[in-house]
Amino acid sequence: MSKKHSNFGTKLVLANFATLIICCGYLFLQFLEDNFSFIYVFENSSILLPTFYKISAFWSAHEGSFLLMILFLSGSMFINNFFFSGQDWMPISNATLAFILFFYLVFQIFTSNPFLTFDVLPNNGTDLNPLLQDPLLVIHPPVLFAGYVFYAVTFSLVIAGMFIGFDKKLFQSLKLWAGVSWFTLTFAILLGSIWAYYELGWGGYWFWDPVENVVLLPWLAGTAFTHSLIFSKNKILLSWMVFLGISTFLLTILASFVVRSGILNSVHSFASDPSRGVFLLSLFGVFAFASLALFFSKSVFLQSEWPKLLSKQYLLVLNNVVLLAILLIVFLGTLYPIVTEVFYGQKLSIGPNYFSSLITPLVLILITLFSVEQFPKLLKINKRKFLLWVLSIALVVIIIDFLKISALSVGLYFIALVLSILLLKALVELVTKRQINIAHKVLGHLSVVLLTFAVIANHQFSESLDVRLKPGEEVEFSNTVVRLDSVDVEGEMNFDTVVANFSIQSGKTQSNLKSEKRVYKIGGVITSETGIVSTIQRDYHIVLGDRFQDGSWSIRYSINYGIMLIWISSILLLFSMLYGTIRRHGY
Amino acid sequence: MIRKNRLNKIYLIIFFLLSVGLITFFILRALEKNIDLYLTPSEVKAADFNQFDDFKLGGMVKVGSLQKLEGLEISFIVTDFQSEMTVIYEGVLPNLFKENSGVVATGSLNPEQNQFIATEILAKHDENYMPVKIEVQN
Repeated sequence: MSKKHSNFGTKLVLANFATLIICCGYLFLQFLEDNFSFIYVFENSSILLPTFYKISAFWSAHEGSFLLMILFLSGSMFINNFFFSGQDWMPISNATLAFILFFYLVFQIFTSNPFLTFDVLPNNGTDLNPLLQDPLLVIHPPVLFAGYVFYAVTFSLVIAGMFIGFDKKLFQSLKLWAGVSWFTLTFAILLGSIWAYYELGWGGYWFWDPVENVVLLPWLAGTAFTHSLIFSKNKILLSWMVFLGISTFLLTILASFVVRSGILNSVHSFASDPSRGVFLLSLFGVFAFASLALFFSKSVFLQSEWPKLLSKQYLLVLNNVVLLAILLIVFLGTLYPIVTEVFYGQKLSIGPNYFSSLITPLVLILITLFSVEQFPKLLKINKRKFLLWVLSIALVVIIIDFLKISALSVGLYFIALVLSILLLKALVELVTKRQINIAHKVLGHLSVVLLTFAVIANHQFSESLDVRLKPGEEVEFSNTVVRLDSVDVEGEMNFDTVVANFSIQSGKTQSNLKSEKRVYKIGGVITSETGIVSTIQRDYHIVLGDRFQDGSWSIRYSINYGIMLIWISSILLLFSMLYGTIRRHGY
Repeated sequence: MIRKNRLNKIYLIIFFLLSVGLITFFILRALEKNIDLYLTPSEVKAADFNQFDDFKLGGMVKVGSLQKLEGLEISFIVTDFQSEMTVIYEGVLPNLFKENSGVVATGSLNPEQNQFIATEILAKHDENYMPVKIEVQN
């Protein structure tokens, strides 16, 4: 393709992005001007809504959020052209993205048009869902969509590679896009998790709910993909990397389909419409068929080698296998209910225990793998010894499983051990060599170990108590004393609120917390603002329930362990991903 | 060299098959243990259920049915607009719980009193949460 053509292509991309900006700007304007003749504005905004939330109301429901996703897709296409203009792979990447964009736009226009209007002008809108009136949930959806569309760009690069071959330049760009997508998607999941913990008031951060699981699928595939770039750079299992790149993108579409079609029983239900579901499913089918057909016709020509037994690359391949096993578990556990419902008409739900009992051992294996990788000397053993190791580890796991001794506490000790070994190694390296080799990798893996530790500790030690308290009364629970000091009524712009003040005595330290219950003026929706006091070790968490006739209130008092550690380790992980992506050389 | 490469390939394939086999075994075992049926009140009435089996009851909370009993005990009626079922729950209701909106209760049947004893209550949250009433400006 000549340079002239490619320049013209870049201009078209810019034109597309510009028109979409105008289109979104127009809808924003309707929100800011309270133009309730637009059905979408009417359903998601009201006069009383603060301006900040009038802006975020844009992406609070299906139509607008899909439009935002399209804007982001077009935007990332533009960024792609801006940063990597003139690259050999650009025309094919642009063509692939244009193909995706085209289908998304058709979907938007024919099934989810946000510009439909009423014939009459309503006085006021029905307000934005109070649950979404939270700063965290204002940023969560855009970040999630950005993660999805970045993976579309990564996908387009992989497709281009199948046509023109994977050279060094393409690998550099791929590494950058894969890193950016991975970071964004991780950030989105973290935001959703924090929101669930602080705003939803269920006392947890992850529920193994279908809507949460389907976001985890592309993340797992993306994690495997990012790691596979490390070995495929050396032409090892190149086709495997390509396959992962394709799967990650396909799983992002699958996630959109599951969430937006409402096919699964989820406690997070979004507007569902069968026609949208059918369209998205066919979209998934088209992309899956086209890309996999291309993959199988081209993969023969992708030069691939197999890694040497017990080399670093070999461990990376194993890591990929384990990640995919986790993916398979989540995939089956999430989609199995759909299969039984469609074929047997039987609705099922799969308990969180399914996921935690299966995934915990695999995560432990994963941690063992990447920890062993940090000690190259351990790998210089012969095959017989290695087999012996594998067998004995498998035996220990099976014995723990069958004896039903608390596998979780075994896991906890194991992880604490690994954590201290890795920390010690990093420290020794820092002191003796004044720097850490591939610091982001060490930090990233350390934070994963820390995260796992916090999650298991949380699972193991957290307790909660449901109780009724009158103002002035106190209750003792798990070495702490909770006292309900007072209950006040306050008013805000678009809601009234009941504020309960608690004090918690734990040993010699006393802390105060407020738990709120809000009644929104439009529609009378009630939400709770959970009261939380956080320390590094544990959180005290109080949800205000209902008022009883004798003046007492029901409360749920929980002590959650390790929550701060979960957030801290996730942020460290994000930091290492970002640093690993933007640093100039290598992986 | 070629032979060694082929040997590695065989090792990998064997490892792969073994792990797939193991994983499938564990998945099936875990699925068997952790499946809860998800039923509406009509389906519960239509079928004959063992009282010891846990399942999930889904439907809408009937308007005006929420009652506060002794202590933290609460009862309400779940309806699918064809059949109804009384649910007893002891504990704090989730903040999204309200009448005429979706609820998922986990627990088991008490056959003598035809009640559902819930151990966990989850309220659904969604984006369109209100009956739409359009005030028309003429």
